[in-house]
Amino acid sequence: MKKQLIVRLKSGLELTFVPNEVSLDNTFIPVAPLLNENDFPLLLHFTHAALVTTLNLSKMPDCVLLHLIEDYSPKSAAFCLNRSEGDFTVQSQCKRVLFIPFPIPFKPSEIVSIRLSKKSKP
Amino acid sequence: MNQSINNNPEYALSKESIARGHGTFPYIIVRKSHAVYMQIPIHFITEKPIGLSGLFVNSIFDDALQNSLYLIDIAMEYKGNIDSKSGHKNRICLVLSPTQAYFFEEDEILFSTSIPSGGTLLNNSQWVIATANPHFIS
Repeated sequence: MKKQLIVRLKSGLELTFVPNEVSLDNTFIPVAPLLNENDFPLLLHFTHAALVTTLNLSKMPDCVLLHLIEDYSPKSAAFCLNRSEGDFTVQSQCKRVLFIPFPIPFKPSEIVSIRLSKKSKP
Repeated sequence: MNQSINNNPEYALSKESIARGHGTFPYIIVRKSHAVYMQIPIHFITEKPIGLSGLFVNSIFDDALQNSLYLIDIAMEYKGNIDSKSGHKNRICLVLSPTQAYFFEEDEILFSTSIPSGGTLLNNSQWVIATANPHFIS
């Protein structure tokens, strides 16, 4: 059974993402190498006890980060649109971050809720 | 409508179809039947288009990335219209890139990194515009 995240928008539409989940206990995470082994959408789960995780987004393809708290409720969003060769990091105070490839067909501000679905898919 | 007829069993999108906007992201795919798809290009426009076919959306943005944030609503509205006209629920797919698609299934919209490809591709006038080829131009 694969984990599904259901993103509900203000319009009432629900979008289903079946993420590739990676659990990590580091507080500094180069994300681009993880995408060599895992497709979008990518769900990172931080298992360390620190308050903040630093995500190195250098050389990442364009994507949107949704920062989720323990029950998967969305806390904030960030756009990763690399336009230079310089290093690029962001910090997250959340224990989970969902990476969705850009472009996304909805505004992050339209998200009402995100929930975990237990429904099994063929 | 001036449309050339291609009798080859396999052929890609013609220059004529590409000039009308086919093969360029974003677009909607309507599944007509097994391996038969209809492609509806989505155009964000600021003035009346000439020579294009597909779905036209008035836009105040120059930036394609800004426009993309409205695509799920545009696709849902389009699906509502064709469902209403056809009297049944159509299976459609919003395709954003070679690795990004949102499938509108029975009761959900499912993201996938795999997009529809091959089969017989029609335009919205029901002309065959490609067979057994990718639905986009590289």
